[in-house]
Amino acid sequence: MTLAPSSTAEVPANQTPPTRLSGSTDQNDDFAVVRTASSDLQSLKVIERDVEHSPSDYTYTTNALGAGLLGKKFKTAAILYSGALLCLVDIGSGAATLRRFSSPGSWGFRRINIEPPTWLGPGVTAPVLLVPATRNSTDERLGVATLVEATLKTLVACPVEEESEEGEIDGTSHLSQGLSALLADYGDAAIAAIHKLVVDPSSNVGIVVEVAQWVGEASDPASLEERREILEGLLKAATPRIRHGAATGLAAIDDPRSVPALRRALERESSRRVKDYLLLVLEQVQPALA
Amino acid sequence: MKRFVRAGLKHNRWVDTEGRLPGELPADVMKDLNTSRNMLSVFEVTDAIGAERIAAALAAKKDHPEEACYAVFDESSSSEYVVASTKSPGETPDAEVNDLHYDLTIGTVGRLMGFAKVIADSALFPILKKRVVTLLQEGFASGHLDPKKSKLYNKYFAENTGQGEVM
Repeated sequence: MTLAPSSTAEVPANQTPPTRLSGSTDQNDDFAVVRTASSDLQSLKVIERDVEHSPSDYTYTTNALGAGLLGKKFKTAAILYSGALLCLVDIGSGAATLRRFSSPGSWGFRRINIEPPTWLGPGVTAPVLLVPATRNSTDERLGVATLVEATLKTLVACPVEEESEEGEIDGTSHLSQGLSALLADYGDAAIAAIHKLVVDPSSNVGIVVEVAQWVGEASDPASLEERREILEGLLKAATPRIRHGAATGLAAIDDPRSVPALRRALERESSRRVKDYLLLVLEQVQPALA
Repeated sequence: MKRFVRAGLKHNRWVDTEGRLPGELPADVMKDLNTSRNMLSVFEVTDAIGAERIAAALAAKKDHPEEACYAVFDESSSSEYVVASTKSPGETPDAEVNDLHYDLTIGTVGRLMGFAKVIADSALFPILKKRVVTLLQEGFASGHLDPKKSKLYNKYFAENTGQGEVM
């Protein structure tokens, strides 16, 4: 893939198009990886419209954000800089939400509106991962998927939370919060890593159950289909508790399209308690069934 | 003969418990049987106040709506493991439910495990989150649930019930 500035594209006065953006190292439905010179990234500008952060952040943003974030269908673009994930951008219609973090475990979040640069042209439909040429070979080989999986591994390794005497956990669990942050920051890559975790037979059953419940409750419409498919797949898990957790997640999604999968699960279910529970979920998801 | 309800359970924890001996129950079920001063909190089920209302009263104590589950069992089925049952005021946002509260003195880990087996063999009733929300809404709207004693009322129900926020 070659991403040259479109000859017909209008380049806003405060956006300097790079002379060349080419040399794709990888491309699939999720990401187009474009290598470019660091100087190109430095030269790209972001127009701010809705300032909700300190002036000092502006310089950081302007200098750091390679603005090759454009496309029609992608949800998240990631920017790597010097081998580290510097920020992620959700693209909306004419606006974007910029998130960044300075170090693993220190998650920052703020919102700005940016003017998408027009030089990338309309043909790019995948997220663009701009990779400065200075990125080291290890980073390049490992990529975002490994980064996300490592973060997820750290999350699930956190100590379990203590419950109060009433048996309740106040607020959302750390795991749920972490998963939500992961999804917000990595989008599809997070979903892929979560899927891998929940189908891994070596994963802790309690963790898988909690993750399955979160998969259903996550407030991210963009990943709804993928999350529903993950849960429907988990209805076939060998462990009854995991099948139960999957049903909990599907109850949270509350999508009638899950009815066929739930019915099939009900037919083959061997555990009486899971069977009763599946029936309850079915009754909710498709009230006419009752 | 009284019938008791132990609410605040997680249904998922009890999936693999049927037919198991007390010592073979999954360890996580003990999280649902937290004792205080060696006593376990339960509520009596009456004709006037059913188990679901008791479960809703306990759900109203949490800081966000979530799936609930309760077990109903006869006093006789647990008598082997209960040293004494003492009526004491409950601490839910539902005053009538609070009047039905009992502390069951269990005393030892061995008896608690036996009690866990009673719950495992009882009828368990999960309430999906969506239904919990409905029950809470109805409880606040009817006045059964006191918004001032509920952590989740202002955040989730003040607007929907038309009663506004409480301080």
